Amino acid sequence: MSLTHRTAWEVVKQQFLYKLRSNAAVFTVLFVLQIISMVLMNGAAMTSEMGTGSFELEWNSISTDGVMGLTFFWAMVFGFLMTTPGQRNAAYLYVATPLTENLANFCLFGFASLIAGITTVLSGGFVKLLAQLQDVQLITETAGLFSEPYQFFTRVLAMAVYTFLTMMIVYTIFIIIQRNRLLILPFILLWFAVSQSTTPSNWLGDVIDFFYNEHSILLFLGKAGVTAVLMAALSLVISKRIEVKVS
Amino acid sequence: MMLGTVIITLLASSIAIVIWKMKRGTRLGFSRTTHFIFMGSYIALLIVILIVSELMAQTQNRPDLKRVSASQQEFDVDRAIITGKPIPEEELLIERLHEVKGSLTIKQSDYGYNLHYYIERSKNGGNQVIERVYRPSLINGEDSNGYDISNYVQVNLPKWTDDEVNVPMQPTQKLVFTSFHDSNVISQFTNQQTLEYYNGYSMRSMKVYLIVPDSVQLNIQLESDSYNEITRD
Repeated sequence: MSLTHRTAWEVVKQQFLYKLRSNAAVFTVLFVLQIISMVLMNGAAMTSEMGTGSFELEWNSISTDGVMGLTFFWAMVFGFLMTTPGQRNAAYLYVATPLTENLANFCLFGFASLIAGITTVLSGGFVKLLAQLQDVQLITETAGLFSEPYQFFTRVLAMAVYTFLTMMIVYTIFIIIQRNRLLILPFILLWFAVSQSTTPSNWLGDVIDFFYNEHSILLFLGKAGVTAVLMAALSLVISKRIEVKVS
Repeated sequence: MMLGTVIITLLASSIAIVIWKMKRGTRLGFSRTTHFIFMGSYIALLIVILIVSELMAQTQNRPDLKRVSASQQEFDVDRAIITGKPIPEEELLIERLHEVKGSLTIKQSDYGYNLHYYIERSKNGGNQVIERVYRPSLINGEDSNGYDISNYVQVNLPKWTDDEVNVPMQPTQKLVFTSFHDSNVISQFTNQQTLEYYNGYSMRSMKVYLIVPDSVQLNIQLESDSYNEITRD
């Protein structure tokens, strides 16, 4: 046994800790985005006013949709950031391989997703408190932590998994683009095709429904796990070629 | 609009700064320790706020609103009055008896919102008019998942003076409700997915159902589309 010999897992762990420390500011950005959404956008408030004659009804609907939306936006940016050359070059500080480099990134995504999941669901308490302090007729449609803790934690799980998948998908896309910059064109065209689509059903909608319509936690985790493994394998294969190309 | 522009500008500039700094491999203004302290403090603060809001929710008075059941949504009071079918008790606002002398005048007035009369002639004789007022129903949303707000709608009951009845102007009222729900996307394992947005509402008119004996002469001064005369075999 050699003192200088390090297992792959030790390298991954060291790289993960290094990446976590060097990307600490990214987490601060997430929290700032969430605070902006909670305070300025009031979660994501929607108001409908209706009236007839002497009668008027105003219905304000507040939710954590805004916080969730900005968190997904942050996840996309984070996924992209991890593919930048600056991040990849950091791997040279360690005796790293593309495998350990990618595994460390995935660990970081996992940690970031967990933080994003926890803070997004917890932010509901802040949005609710703001409404409670405004002395309004408040109807709480979502069960709280005390009344239904199980449902509370399933929301944390769902948010964490969706954030992780977002990061993995964006990461894989940008790894592909790093391999060949021209490949950005098909992705842009694809994005426009989907966003401009007027048909009620499209393949992107079907993909989202594939996860969103799943009400069994185990099956949802299975689907997300298989997707993440496929993304991980794809990004690993491509990033190996990028390394060869760079060297 | 202004606020939205400010938010988008803030977001775009903060993201641009982070990307630029990360690509250059430089740190943002704070030290790493500060970022982790901020992370811990933020999560701890959110936990405390969540507990406070949960405790407040248990002590605050909440509006007594119930979801509309499909059967309630489908129940048609107008049809039930015309066909003589039983009407659920909760639809009835008040039932009163009025003694009239010889004739009854039903006057047209400005109600403020929809109202419909149903006038049935009974062959029982006598001079007692039965008056049943069915509440206006108010349901937010456009499907059966909405809330029944009917109990919050204030109603001025018909005024009876001697042998005359009219409905006074309904009170000016503004109802304001706020609903909170977690994002539906992350509530997929719960049974608490809700309407994203309460678009519109349905309001059924107040109904005044009068059962007037044949012996009482009727003077109906209503517009033809604001009442129905019912004759039973």
